[in-house]
Amino acid sequence: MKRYLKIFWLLSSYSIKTSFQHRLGVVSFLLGKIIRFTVYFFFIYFLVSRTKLLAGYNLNQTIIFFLVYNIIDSLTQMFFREVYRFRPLVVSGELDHILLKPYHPFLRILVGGIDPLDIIMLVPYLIILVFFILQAGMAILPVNFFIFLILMSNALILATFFHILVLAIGIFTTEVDHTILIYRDFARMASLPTDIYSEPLRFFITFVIPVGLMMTIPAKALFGLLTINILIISAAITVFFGWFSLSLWNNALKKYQSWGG
Amino acid sequence: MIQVNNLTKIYKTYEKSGNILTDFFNRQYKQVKAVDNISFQLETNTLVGFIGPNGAGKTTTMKMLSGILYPSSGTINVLGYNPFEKKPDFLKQIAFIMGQKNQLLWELPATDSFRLNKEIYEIEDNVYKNTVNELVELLNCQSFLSQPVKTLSLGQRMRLELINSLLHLPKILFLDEPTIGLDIFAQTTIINFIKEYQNRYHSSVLLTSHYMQDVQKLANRIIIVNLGKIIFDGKLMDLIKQFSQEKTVVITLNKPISQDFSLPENIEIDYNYPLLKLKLKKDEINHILSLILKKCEFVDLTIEDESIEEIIKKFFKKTSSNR
Amino acid sequence: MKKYWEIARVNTLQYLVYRLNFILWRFRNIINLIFIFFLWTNIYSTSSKVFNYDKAQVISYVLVVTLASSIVLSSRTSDIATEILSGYFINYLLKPVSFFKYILTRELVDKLINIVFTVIEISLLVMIFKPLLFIQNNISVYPVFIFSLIIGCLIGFFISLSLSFIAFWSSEVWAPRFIFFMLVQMLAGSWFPLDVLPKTIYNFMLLTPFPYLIFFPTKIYIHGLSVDLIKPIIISIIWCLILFAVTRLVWLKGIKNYGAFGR
Repeated sequence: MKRYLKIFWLLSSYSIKTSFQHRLGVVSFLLGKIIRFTVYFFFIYFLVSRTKLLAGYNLNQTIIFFLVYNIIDSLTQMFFREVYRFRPLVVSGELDHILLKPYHPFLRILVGGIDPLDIIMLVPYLIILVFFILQAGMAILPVNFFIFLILMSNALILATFFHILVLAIGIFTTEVDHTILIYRDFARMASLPTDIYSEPLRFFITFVIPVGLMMTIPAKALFGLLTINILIISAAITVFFGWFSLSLWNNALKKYQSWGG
Repeated sequence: MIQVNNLTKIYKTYEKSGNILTDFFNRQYKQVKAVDNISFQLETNTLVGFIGPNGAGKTTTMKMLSGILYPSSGTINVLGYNPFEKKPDFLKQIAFIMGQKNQLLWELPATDSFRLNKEIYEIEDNVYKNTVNELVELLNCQSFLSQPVKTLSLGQRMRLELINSLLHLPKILFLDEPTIGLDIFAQTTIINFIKEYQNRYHSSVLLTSHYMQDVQKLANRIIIVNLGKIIFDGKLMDLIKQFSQEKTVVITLNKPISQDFSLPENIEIDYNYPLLKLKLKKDEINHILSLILKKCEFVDLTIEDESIEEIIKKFFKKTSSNR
Repeated sequence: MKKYWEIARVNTLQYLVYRLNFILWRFRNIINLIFIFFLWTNIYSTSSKVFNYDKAQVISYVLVVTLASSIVLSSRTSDIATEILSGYFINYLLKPVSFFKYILTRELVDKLINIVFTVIEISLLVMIFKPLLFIQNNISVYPVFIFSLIIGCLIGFFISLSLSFIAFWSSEVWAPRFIFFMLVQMLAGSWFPLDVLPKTIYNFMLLTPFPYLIFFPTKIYIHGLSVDLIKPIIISIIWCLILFAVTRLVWLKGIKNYGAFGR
């Protein structure tokens, strides 16, 4: 709806305005992200160039897996940064005010605090990804690329449901102040192809806590390694996950006790 | 307009036994009935004061009426809606203002928050302009509208919070301790504003406050809540008449009381020369005053009603002794 | 002395009050451990020796690094920044408790809890996945290992404390701490043994305090004693003393500057 877009636009511009008021914070966090990516990148590059293979994938492929992870991770952090600030809202009682507004609370607590830094980080990620795809010299069939895009969108949808789950947990218990970081740790497990894990861990990481579905599977599409079955299963899991997280959220609202203040 | 039937809210909390192992592995939960089977009705264009001690269930009730909390049992009907469903059309007609709580965007000027609310509540441009101007004028906020909210004093912020919450001219206002923590001038400003607002826009107001002067000034109907139950629902005047049977007489003496002057034993006396304070029942006033006129020399004499706080205290004492 | 036992007891209890939080915190550690464990296991599936570590050594490296991290990096000093900013810090100055003894007690409690649970988690991993491990047989390595761990703890403690003391001047404490945390994560050896880097880079890094936090003690354990340990050990002690002096200076200046804002 047009109104939702307008509210989203206003909230986002306020979020960006506010974050740029803390200039030292902006610079430091950006620097930190760059350092983290650079060191991690060179570590993998250095390592896999020595051993030639990682779980059957060569250096180029491994790097591509890694970059797809970073792109999806960056996009989700950009959109859902507000989820990281959720707990103080619950504890202070400000959540009440949000629930009273005549629009869906997700507009505020899920996507209401866009992080401009992650937008900045996307640019080098995309450039490096394209570079390594070209370097790999592989011919990417248009149909594979198309599937890749669909699966990337699927990954973002799954990420949305993950974050809704985190919000619901945040209402059920204010005890835990790091739920979102647990999701980040799981996601990081999929920063390299999930083939490195032994079963049943790999199954768990791909289908039960479907971070493998979010990160590894889309990259595999580029290499043409997927079957129709995987696509159908991905869709099914996303739908199920969506139903699960939204039900949990609705249940959380009923159990909400509004302690704040 | 507001219809509440057999409303109950039960909270689940756990008890700490102090033993670290039982607290970790075998927690004991207990249920607290914050609101216990209450029912009442509210028509349009009324101002109701919700009074009761802390933990009586006032805030919980208001939060259920506005849709924040889910009732454990009972029904609520506000403007024809079930509040918990949080339908946008319902939410556009209510406002909930909590004392000392910020809704304004902290780092930016208040005007940015107003603009945001304009979009959220879909207020038309000209209506918005008029409302903002009227409210800003009523509350005298023109001078600090463009300063970042974080730089303002509590009194200034509270006034802007009021404007922000009323931009959409809601039909129902929930006010939870709106003047708490404010100095006497800010309190008066806000209370007068609420009265003026209610006069102009004919909304219904539910107010909780610990400051009895606020309630007295604003509400003609009060609902007294204690331990989750409603123990009084009616006109404030009736309560005063029923329970205010004493008056306080304060006499400023010119000369100390002479030895031979005595008052009946059952009268409460507070004598600290030159002030003599007496608590008299209404039918005693005539007799005692004539005694004083005869035997004392004084320069000032006042007869005061019991304060509303004392009346409420008496009321509580009576109802708890009735259990 | 008795009051410090009481402080220790209370601080220990605080961890267990929020039981879900505690369990999930340990769970996160397990996840991270699994990730890096599988990464290295896979690296070695095709080659039997990479750089100068064989598979058993590398896996042991990962586990010892995890243990060393739990000892060296676990810290409550970041709480101090919050306490200074909120004004709560005044309580330390008003109570008849030495501030430094208090935070040291708190620190030791935190490290102890971390060590205990990390050992449990590592044992679980070893029992489930049964990797081949390298156990250091040379007894004389252990005292040097423990000594370097203590130096590492002190270096980390002083740096973190100085970062917290920034709060005396500015409320922007989290940005520098984030950068420091990133640098430690990457450069202290938690991900990979630092001596796989090219010689020049490696020697340069030994001049910074970071390797002495985690990598250096672990290297002593894995590779044993040798002559080229002497120079780094001396550097680490020098860093320890420098950082102690810096922290002390920052503390003295900061206390004077402290205006007890907040609240």
